[in-house]
Amino acid sequence: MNEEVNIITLDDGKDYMVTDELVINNVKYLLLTNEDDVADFCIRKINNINNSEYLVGLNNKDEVLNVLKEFAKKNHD
Amino acid sequence: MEDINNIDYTIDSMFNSDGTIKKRTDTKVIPNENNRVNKVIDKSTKCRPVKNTKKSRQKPRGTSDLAKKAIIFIALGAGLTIGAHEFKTQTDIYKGTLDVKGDIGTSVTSNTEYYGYNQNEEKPYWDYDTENIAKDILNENKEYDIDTRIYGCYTHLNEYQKEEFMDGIFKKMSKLISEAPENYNEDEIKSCLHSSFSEYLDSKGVTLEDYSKIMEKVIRAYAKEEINEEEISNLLGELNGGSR
Repeated sequence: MNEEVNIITLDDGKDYMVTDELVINNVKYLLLTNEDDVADFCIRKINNINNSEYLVGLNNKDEVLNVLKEFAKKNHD
Repeated sequence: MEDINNIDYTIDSMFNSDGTIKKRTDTKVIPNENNRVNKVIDKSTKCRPVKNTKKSRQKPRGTSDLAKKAIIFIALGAGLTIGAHEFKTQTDIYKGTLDVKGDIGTSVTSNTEYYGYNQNEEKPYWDYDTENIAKDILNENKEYDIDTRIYGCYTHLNEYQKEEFMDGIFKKMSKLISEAPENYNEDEIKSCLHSSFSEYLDSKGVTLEDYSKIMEKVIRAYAKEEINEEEISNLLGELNGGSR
């Protein structure tokens, strides 16, 4: 049995699965997991630039930890 | 690369009884937690924008769940607060709900006889002593309110002819109450004096789905270490249209 997952290629050239999407303060974040290594993951947020969606990095450590905190809350309930 | 399936991320292995993170000395169990989180921070902040071009791909079922577990595991294992107390509290409540469900299900489990297994239909034979179930709902586990005791019975009956058995149990509870009404309080009489399960739900003005949702919340409220009577009363009020 299979499931369909969304895949995004990041700037390192590797393919990442979209593990979850979160909206925090009107910003949409994606939690992305390396499809070849489940322990290798990162976070991006979506920005609209010239009417196109771009995945951009987070501003700092605090923003990363806040997203992880919200993710943990969401998935523990 | 360590297999994530081999990592022990049970609550007891990760948290002390007070909800604080256990200090690890066995690096094989959780290797370099902070390094892993720092790697996530670096990968999430030091990067170039890319255009959002999603494509879909088939993966073995459970891949997404496994990925989620890995993120939770790394985040919690690193000692980030990330709801460590909250996580443990939620887990304790979940364990507590199993205890509550066990308690309120004894009206059924104590009064069920099994007669073996039907190989052709691939299900067991059983028989409910509905007379004793009715008595136990009314007279046992009085630390729980009557609606919770009824729900315990409902959830423990097998799916086969569940509502028919519930109807019979309500008829027997009504008979027991009519024989000795002085033995029962107002809530017990209001909830049990019905000729069928659907009549009981109608009296509450709720669908079966809403009833189940409310009662699951009530059970969670009972499962908390410090039971909040007001929370339970409010939830039961929701079930009873604000009459309780």
